[in-house]
Amino acid sequence: MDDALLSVEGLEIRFGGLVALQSVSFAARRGDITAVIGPNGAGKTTLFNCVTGMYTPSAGSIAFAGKELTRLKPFEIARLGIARTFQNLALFEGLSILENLMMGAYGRGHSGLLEGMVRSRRAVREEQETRARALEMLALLGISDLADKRPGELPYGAQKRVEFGRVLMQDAKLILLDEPMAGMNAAEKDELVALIRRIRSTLGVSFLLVEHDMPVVMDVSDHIVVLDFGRKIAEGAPEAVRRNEAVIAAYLGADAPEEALHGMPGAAA
Amino acid sequence: MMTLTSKTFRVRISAYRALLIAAPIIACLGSAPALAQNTPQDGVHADRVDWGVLMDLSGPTSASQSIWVAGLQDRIRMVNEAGGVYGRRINILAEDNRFNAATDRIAFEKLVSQTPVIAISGMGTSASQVALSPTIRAGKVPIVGTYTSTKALSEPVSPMVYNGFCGYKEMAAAGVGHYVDKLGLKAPKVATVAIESAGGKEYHDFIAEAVAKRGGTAHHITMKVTAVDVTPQALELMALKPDFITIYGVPNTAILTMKALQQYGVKIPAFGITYLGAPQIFTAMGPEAGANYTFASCFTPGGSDTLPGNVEMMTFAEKVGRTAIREDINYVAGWVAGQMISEALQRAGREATRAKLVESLSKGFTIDTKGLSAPIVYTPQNNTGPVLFRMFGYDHATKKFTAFGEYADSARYVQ
Amino acid sequence: MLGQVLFSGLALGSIYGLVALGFVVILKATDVFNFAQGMFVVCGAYLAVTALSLLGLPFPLAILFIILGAALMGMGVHAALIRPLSGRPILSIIMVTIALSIVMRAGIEILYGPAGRTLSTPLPSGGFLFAGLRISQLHMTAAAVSWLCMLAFGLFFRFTSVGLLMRAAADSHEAATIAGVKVDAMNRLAWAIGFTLAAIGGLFLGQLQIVSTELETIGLLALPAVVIGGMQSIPGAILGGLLVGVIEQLASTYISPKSADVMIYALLLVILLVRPWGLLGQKAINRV
Repeated sequence: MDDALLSVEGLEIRFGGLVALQSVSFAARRGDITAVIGPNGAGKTTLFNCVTGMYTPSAGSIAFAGKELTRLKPFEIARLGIARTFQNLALFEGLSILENLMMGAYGRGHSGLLEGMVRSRRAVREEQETRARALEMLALLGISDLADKRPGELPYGAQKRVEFGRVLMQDAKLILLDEPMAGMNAAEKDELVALIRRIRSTLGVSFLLVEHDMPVVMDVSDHIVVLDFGRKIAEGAPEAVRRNEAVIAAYLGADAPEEALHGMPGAAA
Repeated sequence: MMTLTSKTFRVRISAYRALLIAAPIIACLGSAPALAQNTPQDGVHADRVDWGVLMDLSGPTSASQSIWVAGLQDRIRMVNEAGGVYGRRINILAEDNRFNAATDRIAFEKLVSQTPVIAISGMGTSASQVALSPTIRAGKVPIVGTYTSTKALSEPVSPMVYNGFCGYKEMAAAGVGHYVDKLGLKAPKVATVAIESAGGKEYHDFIAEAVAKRGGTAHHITMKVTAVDVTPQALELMALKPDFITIYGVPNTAILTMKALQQYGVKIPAFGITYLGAPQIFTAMGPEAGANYTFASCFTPGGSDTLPGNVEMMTFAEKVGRTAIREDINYVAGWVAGQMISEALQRAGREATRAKLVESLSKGFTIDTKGLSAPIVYTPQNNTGPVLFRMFGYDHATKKFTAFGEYADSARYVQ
Repeated sequence: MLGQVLFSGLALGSIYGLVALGFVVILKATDVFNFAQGMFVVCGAYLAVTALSLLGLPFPLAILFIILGAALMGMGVHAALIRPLSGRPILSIIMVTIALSIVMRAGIEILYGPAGRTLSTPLPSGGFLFAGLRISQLHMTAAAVSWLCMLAFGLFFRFTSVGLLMRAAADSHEAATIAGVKVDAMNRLAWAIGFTLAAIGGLFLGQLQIVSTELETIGLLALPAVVIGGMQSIPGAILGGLLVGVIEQLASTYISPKSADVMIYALLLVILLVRPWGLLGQKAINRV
């Protein structure tokens, strides 16, 4: 595991009496698409919140490129190169699509607050560069014509792409995708999968993915971590996980959605 | 703006009637001097006499009232430094009623029954004056030197109450008389600019009464206490074209009115009530607008003449570090109230009690302020206090008040 | 007559708009309905007194002193009271702002004494006749500076990267944090700006009137202005301020000074009944 980009060790988090995650350990390798799956309530989103610094774990460690994250503030983690999309989109409703994308880059802006306020030459140049990049990104995502619209005016699939674009603008090394396929039709899913692959190959970005759509997970992932009731019950390549008895039991025992079971031949058999 | 509520109608009551009211009380109190003598209830101790002051030391009216209290305390300090009264130091217990009638009531009870004090001065909140007036009038503790006087407290005349500030009725009569004669008007047209309050309305009624006597007309223009811009009022004044204006309210009322008129290039003389007689008000107006403004006062502000009373006050104020406020009209009013206190105690005698104090005051007495005001005369029929007025302006160049005429001049207006 | 009244109404309304703008900046950024905004105005006036009368600073330096002082105080209020309470029920935070205003009033009265002070600045105070209207230079200056400040803020907020960061942070604390924005710093900046805009309003109100804690009442006219204009709307705050100023002057002239408050709050009531999101506010959009 020398090339682990993100390594989680003995992660534990409690909310009052409830143990949401219990001694979870796994690693996401550099360049990999790592999926975290599990029935509803397994602790997937909680795991994401721990990685992004929204929650402070009760025990354990999370290291990103060798740097401990558990003591850092969310914006510091973001600046290290971890970006994230949300299950329920987190877009800036009051900003235009172009501005939403630019925001991704500004968070990491180099010129300081004061410089930005007094409009130093560097701040202005940065601003122009960011705008140009955001426009390129819109083109890459195929939504150039929507630059001046507000998120609320766009269909769901397009909003997802905007969020994706903002995350890419952050120059992240690791992107956390929280159910990116939810609410998308088959064609949109195919496009997004292709996009994820393209980005990985061209930008060398690694992904950590929470997803219920099993065919997509099986198709796109290099490595899968399975959580159930806050514990890791299995880990491995898609083929291995598909045949894992504990995984099958967890999915059968749980009140899993039809969609989740679909694409798990082992379970269906 | 409760402090500005009206000074009362001065009702002429026959000596007989006053006696009828006063006599039983005096008789009753006077019959038990032996019991009351030097008992703690009356606040008279071997080395000191406790005297209460009830005023707003915080809250919206404290700006003027706290200066009055400072003047009073300084005067008492001077008396104490000179050995006090009959060898006793006068101990001023100033209670802050925080512009709140309920607080006032508690503080009043404390001074009357617990502390106790021989008498009380101030009573700056007119709401509590009204509320407490039956208690005061039927009680044993005299109010000597009020800051404002409500009708409820001062009418009909009571041996328990001695007004200590300029009254609105006389103020209105003196101001109107002064300007009508000065401008040689036949049928004066006068405008009252006042904040929206019961006191403002009463003041306007006094003005209207005085103007009617001169065969003129009076108009009432109102303004918010917190006004920032008085364009509407200025326009109304310009349409009305009064011969002169009189202003009732807070410093801001006077400043905004005079500045707005200057803005519109209108020069109408105006006079404010006594409370609007601070150097800061004139400074804020500026030399041009301030030149048209005077105020009517029954007290001479510090530094505006060199009569002995004024010199004495200014010198002592400087000695105790009150240079910042000694020219404020409230300071001299408090200073004179302090003189009333020491002279009242003098009259009450070596073995002073509340009863003896009331008995000696109710016979009538005169305070000679050595030029700080006209002699203030109290008679069994009349406790109105200062009734003679002068108009004061301000010279921006010398930063001094200038007086117009003498107090005696106003006698013909106020009678 | 009408023209004259409209002029003074618009001039006053510009100052109200400026104060209301400060209020909205704070509200947008931190969701705090700031009842201390009126005292921020008072603080501005007293900063002016301190700089001009007590320290005797030359006017340009005094302006700098007021702006820096106000910005620092805004940051201080945020750091000491607002940030530690973030996430608490909205009522607790409102109570804190009310408490803050009371404490500030007492503090100022202790420091400067209860008596009002007059503020004299080198700003022109004369007047001139224009198209039959008597134009007060001080009113003109106050209105012009207010508009300049509003315009400068608008440009900053709309077109600079920091403005974008502020808008983003105000829009969604969560998304902004994830995008690496120091939301805290943005909120601090919002309080600094909100305080400063109020303080500039206080500088003018203190000169038009006298400097005392009673200026708070006038500063709090920002509240109806904001509700009328639209709680979350920046142009709405400015429009609301202008409306409040004009209504105040019209009512004072044609009805009575006391009726001015009645008219302002009557309009506020109508707005709340008919168009609760305000004249220029946006109807809440339900997310998918």
